[in-house]
Amino acid sequence: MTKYEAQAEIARSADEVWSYAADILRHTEWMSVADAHLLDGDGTQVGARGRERLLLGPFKWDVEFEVVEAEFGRRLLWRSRDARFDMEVGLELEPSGPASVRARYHGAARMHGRWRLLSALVAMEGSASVKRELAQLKARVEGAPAAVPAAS
Amino acid sequence: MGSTPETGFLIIADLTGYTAYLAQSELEHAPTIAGDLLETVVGRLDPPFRLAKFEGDAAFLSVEDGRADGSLLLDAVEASYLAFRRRLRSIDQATSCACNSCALAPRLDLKLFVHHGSYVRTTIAGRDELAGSDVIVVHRLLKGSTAETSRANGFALFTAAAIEALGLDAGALGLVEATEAIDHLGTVTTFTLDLEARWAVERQARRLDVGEGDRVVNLDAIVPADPADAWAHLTSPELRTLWEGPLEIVESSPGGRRGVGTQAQCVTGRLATIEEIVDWQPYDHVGWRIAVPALGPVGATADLEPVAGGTHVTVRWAYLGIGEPDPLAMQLVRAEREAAFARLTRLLAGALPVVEATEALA
Repeated sequence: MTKYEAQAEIARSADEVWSYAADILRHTEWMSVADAHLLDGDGTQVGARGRERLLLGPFKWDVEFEVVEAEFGRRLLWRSRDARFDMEVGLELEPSGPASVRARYHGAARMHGRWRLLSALVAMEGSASVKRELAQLKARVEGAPAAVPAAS
Repeated sequence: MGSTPETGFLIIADLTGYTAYLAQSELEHAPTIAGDLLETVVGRLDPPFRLAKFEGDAAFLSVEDGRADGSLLLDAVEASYLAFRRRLRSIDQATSCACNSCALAPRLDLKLFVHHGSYVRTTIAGRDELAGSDVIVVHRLLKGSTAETSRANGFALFTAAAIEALGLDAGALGLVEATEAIDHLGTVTTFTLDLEARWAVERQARRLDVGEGDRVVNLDAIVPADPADAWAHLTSPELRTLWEGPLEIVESSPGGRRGVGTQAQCVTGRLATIEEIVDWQPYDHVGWRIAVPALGPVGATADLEPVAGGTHVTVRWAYLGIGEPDPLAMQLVRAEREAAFARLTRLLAGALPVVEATEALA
């Protein structure tokens, strides 16, 4: 299994970052994917499923995935399994201030059968992708208007 | 104020027979031809070596430790001699001039002296100079007994210090051992590589031809890098991982020097590809036979040609197995090779951050 990760400080609350990242229909805004669809659920709960076109280097692969971990404000983990590969992508959030969060974005992939011929390429592209996608996630949520805290 | 000592390789490329050539040739032409030849030699040594200065009919170069591995430095030495001989051949074949300068040029030859040690950079009368006892050693070798007895042939002479620093097995490479006594500096053990023999092999070399019909991949690009840099990225395990991905490349080379017969196991994940180098003409052509899992035997070549603005790199992979190759495996190999080659061209163009490529290895 090839693993890669990136970390960043994001100047938004963990809840805001989590809510944005969990929205499968908005994955196209910051992930290297196109044509995101919901198949089951809304993306915020374990068991929700979606389908996306994964853009990995020169490849465009249609993949179905499932939310396998979803803890509001703390973590998300998406998993995809098919005949070509097992792939996981996760986001972990650790509040570092009232309106800032330390984000760890990570991925892992294992190719199957003849698709292992692409292992080195997938590792190379995957490593670049997590850095690029986390930077885009940070830019997107920091570029959005900050949420107004609810009056107590 | 003192200079900081550095360690690295010191090399002198010296034209053999230059004095006799100059004495018998027209003064108007001879230095021009000799200069042309020296430029050819330096053009192949630099990089990875850096020209310190021309010294009459010789060029003095150096490279600090860590800039290139031993095989790549030896590639540069060998490539410089082969380029010199090719240039001599083209002068011989192309000229219709009857002057002595042109007629006698093919009698020139080249000898190279390689030493490893310490030196300092200093300025003398406004000129940058390398200084130190090891600088003296490499210059004294020019007038040593090996240089005298090998006068008629092209050769490269390495000191024991150079052989050790290059990580070479002198015996396995067939180098001839000798000693040189140098006043005040003691006895230096030397090893001589017969470059004349290398040229004879080069002239008869038959390159691996992967043909046109069953090619898996046929890629080419002009990269903004000199042939030495492109060659290093195509052949050095350390540099290959920057564009081919996180491979673990374990090499086994006869004599410790990469070349024909070098075998490598390239592992990524649980997939292991076995490679053997079958052609090795530094800066010009390299051929491999590769056992690719799920596909079978593959012949691969890379050809380099210096062109305006860089190097024209052509890479070919061809399926060499019996019967039809697996279509999916072929498709995947083609896609993987195309993507890797695109990374190589971006890397050599400076468009792929090395940090990005390096971090992928973590």
